[in-house]
Amino acid sequence: MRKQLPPEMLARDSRFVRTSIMDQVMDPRNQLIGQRDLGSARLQPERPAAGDRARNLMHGIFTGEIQALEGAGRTTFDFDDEQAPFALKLDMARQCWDESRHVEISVKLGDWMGTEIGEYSEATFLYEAACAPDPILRLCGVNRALEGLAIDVFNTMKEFGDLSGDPVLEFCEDWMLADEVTHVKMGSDWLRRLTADDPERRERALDFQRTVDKLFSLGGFRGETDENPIQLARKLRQMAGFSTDEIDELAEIAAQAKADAEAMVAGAGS
Amino acid sequence: MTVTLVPEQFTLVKFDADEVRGLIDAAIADTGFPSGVDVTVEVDEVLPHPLTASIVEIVDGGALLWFTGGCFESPQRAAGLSVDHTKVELATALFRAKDRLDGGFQSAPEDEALTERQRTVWDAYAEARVAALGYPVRVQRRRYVFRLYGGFNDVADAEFERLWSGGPLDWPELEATSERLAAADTRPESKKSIRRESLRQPAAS
Repeated sequence: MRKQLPPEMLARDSRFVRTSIMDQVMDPRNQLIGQRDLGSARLQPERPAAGDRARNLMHGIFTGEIQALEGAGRTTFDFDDEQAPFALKLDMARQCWDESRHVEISVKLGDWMGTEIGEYSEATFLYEAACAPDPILRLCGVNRALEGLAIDVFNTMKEFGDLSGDPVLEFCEDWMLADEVTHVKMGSDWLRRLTADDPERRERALDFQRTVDKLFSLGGFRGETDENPIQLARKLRQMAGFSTDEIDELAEIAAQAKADAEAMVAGAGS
Repeated sequence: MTVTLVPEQFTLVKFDADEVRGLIDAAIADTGFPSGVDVTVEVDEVLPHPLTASIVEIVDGGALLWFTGGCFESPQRAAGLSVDHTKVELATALFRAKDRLDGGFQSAPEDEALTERQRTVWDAYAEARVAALGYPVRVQRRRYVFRLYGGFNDVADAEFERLWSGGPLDWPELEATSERLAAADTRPESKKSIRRESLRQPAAS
């Protein structure tokens, strides 16, 4: 079996359609939407199109779970025991079990909300973050950055379920959220253990995490203002082992990512 | 009957205006829309999927149907046309315009003054008729939105089934349905949303 599987080789059936992040960023409508006063971007039941926005996000969670499963699965296989200790791979195998359940739960939630598998396009940048050649970079990029994002997303969806009185959505998101906290903590623990005597490697891994965090904050997707659909879940991130300084830094990264995206769109339109 | 598409050509999305006109003509025929009534379909192509919203107005005896571009857009291909979604959105709006023209809906508030609950009841009633035409309606999507604004409870589910399988209704009956949903809704008052915000831009003066 091939090691280091590139994103284009991920197995998908004919229901799935790929999209690229650049297609989304360079959409000429973005600049014009930015000029409209559309009110809060937060996902709330009273906002216009809340049903379709929630369905869209739920499908994004579903494809994200598939890719998280694929990423953790690759880490159990791509490295020998010197590169990645057996205990680390065992943790990744356990995470695969969690991600598999999350995929199944997400499919059921899609059914509940009236969304078909593949109804929305799939971007593979989550898996791309799981293709780093160093297992510690993967743990920082996937477990700390992306599973951290999952905390923010699940918490947002859980709140949406609570506000709309949807017990199915609220409980399912809460259960998945609990797993994500352990996945982030797993990444933090292994980062400390494997780089205890190698500060340069740790810094490289944290740099990679910042890059991934910025990518996933693109266009103001995540942040702490009304303009961000996904809200930074400070309390749950603290439970997962993030320090206040790290969360503050992430908030700054998110704000910078939004400014960068606006500049890119403005540049494309000029 | 005059049928007008605004804009005449799309510039921000990859919709073929002639294809959309064809879908409008087909939906007019399939819904049995009155032949003497002018129809204007206005698409705000700035607003992408999943920002879906539509408004139906009767202006000077003609039907004005306003949609976000997201209503017609394929969720799989950014800025591309979804023929299925477009057919269903058009036919649903035409049935609602027909309701306003045919009588029985004189006391219905204008679309932007409807509560989310009233609107979701009317949408379910209209989309049920679209489903009966054999159009590719996504019933579970409609049911989810119905629960979102009508309540996640057995009363709401029973009302949805009644609307989905029932015969002709008028506004007082739809309003009574909305009131039954409100009475059965145990969510705190603040969670019972009232329609207040619109994606539609005010007309340029």
